[in-house]
Amino acid sequence: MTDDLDRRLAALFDEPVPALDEAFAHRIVALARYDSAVRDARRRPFARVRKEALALFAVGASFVFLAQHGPDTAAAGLGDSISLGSPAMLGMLTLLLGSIAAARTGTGDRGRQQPIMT
Amino acid sequence: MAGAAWRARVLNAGEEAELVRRAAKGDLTAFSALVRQHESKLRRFTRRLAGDEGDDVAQDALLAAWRALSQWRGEGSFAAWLRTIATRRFLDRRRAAGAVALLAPLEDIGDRACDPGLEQRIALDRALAALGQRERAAALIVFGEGYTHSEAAALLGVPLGTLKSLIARARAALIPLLEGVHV
Repeated sequence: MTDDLDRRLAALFDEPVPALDEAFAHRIVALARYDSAVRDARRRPFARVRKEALALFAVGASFVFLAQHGPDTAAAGLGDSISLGSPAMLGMLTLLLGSIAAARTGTGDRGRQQPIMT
Repeated sequence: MAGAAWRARVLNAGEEAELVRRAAKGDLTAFSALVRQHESKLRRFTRRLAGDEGDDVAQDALLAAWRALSQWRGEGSFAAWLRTIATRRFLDRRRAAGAVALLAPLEDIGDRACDPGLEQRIALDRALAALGQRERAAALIVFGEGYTHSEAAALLGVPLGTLKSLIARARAALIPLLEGVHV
């Protein structure tokens, strides 16, 4: 009984499949292309921040390594510390400031909604 | 356009899986072929589901599918996956809109204007519009798309018993449309 009803109801729903809507299909593909471009644009600054953070870590690690295993500066009367005014320290400071600036640029637009094309 | 050739015939599961795999890697030609393969049936489904908002729901669903293509595991059909996304997008939209407003039946009859069964279809659209959203979705999936109750339950993400209740309510509301119709 129910099966028969369901069969008759299904027949009510029977309708030919509409023709392909070229404009609709084009719009969807264009939106997908735009969506990919937006996602790539968002991903790029993060990749840059990652790279710079890695570079900063590498420089820092080299700095520590050289400070521990480099030529004996104590013999030259410089002790174990590296002067804050030394070119190496200034280089580190510049790199740090650059990375902070890059990180701020990379994350600044995160919460902003991109306009959606229709 | 390259994708036009794909519309000429129905793809088998292997071809479709290959297209999905390529599209998931960002191949827009493959995605275009998938859109052309499915958009007509998907729009027919969403227009019945969401009335005049149907094309917007289909668009939302296809874009959401594009973003989530890598998550399609190929366990069911791609068409069913699209309908799952479309149904969820529709329910989300209705929830966001307050869900109290009745759905407007489809006004744009478009190329159905010369259809001899037009009156009956308008009556069906109206009856569907008067149903609750979940009942309507269940009726469309089972009666309109031919999925079994188990498939429809999985598609809607509800237990089988709930699906059967939804179908029973939808059936009761649609039965009056059968008067005078002999299949």
